[in-house]
Formats: sequence, structure tokens, C-alpha cells
Amino acid sequence: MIDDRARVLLMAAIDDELTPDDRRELEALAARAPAVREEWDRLTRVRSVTQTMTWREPAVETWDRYWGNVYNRTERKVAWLLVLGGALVLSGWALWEAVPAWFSSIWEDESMPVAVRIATVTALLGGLLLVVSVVREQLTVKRADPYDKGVTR
Amino acid sequence: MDTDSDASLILRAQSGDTEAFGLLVTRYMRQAYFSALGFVGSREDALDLSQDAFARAFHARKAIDPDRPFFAWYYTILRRLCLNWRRNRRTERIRLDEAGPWLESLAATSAVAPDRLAEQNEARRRVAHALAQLSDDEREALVLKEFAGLKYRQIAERMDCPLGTVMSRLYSARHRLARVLEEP
Repeated sequence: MIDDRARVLLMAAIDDELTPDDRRELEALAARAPAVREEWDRLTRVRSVTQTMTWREPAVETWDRYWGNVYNRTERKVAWLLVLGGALVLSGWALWEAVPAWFSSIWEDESMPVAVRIATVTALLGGLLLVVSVVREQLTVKRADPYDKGVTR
Repeated sequence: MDTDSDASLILRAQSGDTEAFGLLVTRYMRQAYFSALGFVGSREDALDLSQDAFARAFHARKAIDPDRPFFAWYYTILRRLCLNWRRNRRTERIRLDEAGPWLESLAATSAVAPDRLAEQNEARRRVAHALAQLSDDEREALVLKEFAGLKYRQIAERMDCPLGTVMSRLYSARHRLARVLEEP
């Protein structure tokens, strides 16, 4: 059985971050416990394999275009925000204008089929429910997201 | 020649100098790309995520503290994006790409005997495959140590956890890789 202290020492040994005192301690441990020695050998073997591996380089053009791509993204993000902002205002205005007219027509126009009246109410309720659900999820996820810490968006 | 300090580039970027931010991007793009690659394993996604993180960093540039290392701040954004990416792929039941396509062997020496070379290649293939099976934390710690070459303290800062936790994650990751290497 390898205890926590031995694990810490083994890692430091593998990564060449052992102090001379730690090295003496680990060697004494390994001399007393064959399991520690075996684990040391196994981990050394893993390290010898990973040391022969490296990142695969992308094509050179990747770096030439990198900043250009980032810049385009920042520009497009602003463009999208403008488009979305405009669309939201226009949609809001259209709804403000159209919904009251539509509602008065479905209640006042006796020839309007019942199915259309029901569909209007259910669509409205569904939309409301969706908005509430999305807003609640956003608030909950933002509060509970462990990866959100320290990030300003 | 790009000799400006990070702090001066950050201050210039904060006062509206886009070119200064471009210099920061150029300075850290390789680190950013390879960090993302360690998380996601796919070159296209690593490129996309690292660039997206820079774009977000640009929009949030007013929040950067010029007295602190830029890349550490940027890394928190990149890390969150990459972990979200992995989480989404998992829910879609799409396997993370194995490490094969994003890692390669260091130049092989011609002095190695063919059977030994085959053995080394097999070991690397197994390790590459096993890397994809590690937990996010184990994989991140191992990639930062083995491929980014960071010290424990730097890894602890990047992962926002104590030094002991880094060592414990590294141990656990390597222990798993060792088991994979021993499989018949």
C-alpha cells in the first residue's frame, strides 16, 4: 500500500522536483517497501514514454491567420449584438402593435374559429413559460457554474 | 520586434488600441492553442476555442489587471470554454478524439532497433489512447506538466487548486497510464 506521502514523493521524483532531503526519504521508503520501489519503476516507465511525445504542430499559415481570425470574431460579435439589439427592438414594437389588434380581433370577431382562439392562448402561455424557464436556468447555472469563477464576460 | 511588456500592451488595449491587443494575441497564441488542444484533442476545435477565448478576452479587456500575468487571466476563460465544450460532447455521447492526432513522437533516432521502435510506438499509442480516458482534472494536470512543461506551482495557479491536489491528480493520471502500459 502506498500512502499519500509516498505518492507526493514519487511524483516529485518523476518530475525532478525533489529536494535532497526528500530524495533520501523516498529512497529509504523504497528500500523498506518493495511496493514503493515497484511503483517508482512503473511511473518512471510512463514518464519515459510521455517524454518522447510532443504537440503536433499545425500548418504554418495557422499562426499567420490567427490574429486576423480573432479580430474578425471581435468585429462580428459587435455586429451580431447590433443586429440582435435592433431585431429585439423591432420585434418588441411589432408585438406591441400587433398583439392588441390580434387579441381584439379573435375575441370580437365571432367568425373566428374556437381552435384559433385556443391556439393563441396556448402559444402565449408556452412563450411565457419558455421565457421564465430560460431566465431561471441562466440564473441558476450562473450561480452554480464552478468554471465561471474569476471570469468577466 | 515585439518588446513591449504585457502590462503596457494591456493598458494600451484598454485605452482602445486594438493593435496592442493583437500583439498580446500573437505573443500567446501558441500557448493558447496548445492549451486548448490538451483539453479537446482536436486541432480545429482547439483553434476555434482558443480564438473565441481571445475574442471574449478582448471584449472583457477592461477587467484585466495589468499587474497580473495576462495568460493566467486568459487561461481561466479558455479553460471554462474547453470544459464546457467537453461537457457538451459528453452529453451528446460523442467520444473525445483520442490523443493520436494531436500528439506526435519526437524525432525517432535511427539507432533504435526496429523491434524496439515498434515497442515504443505501441507504448505511445496506448498512452495516447489512455489520455483520452482520463478525467478532465487528471488530463489537464498531466498535459500542463508533460506537454506544456510547467512546474507544480504554475499548474496549481492555472488549475486554481493546492499544490498537493496537483500532485495527487498527476499521480492518479500516471498510475492509470501505467496500468494501460502493463495490459497484455
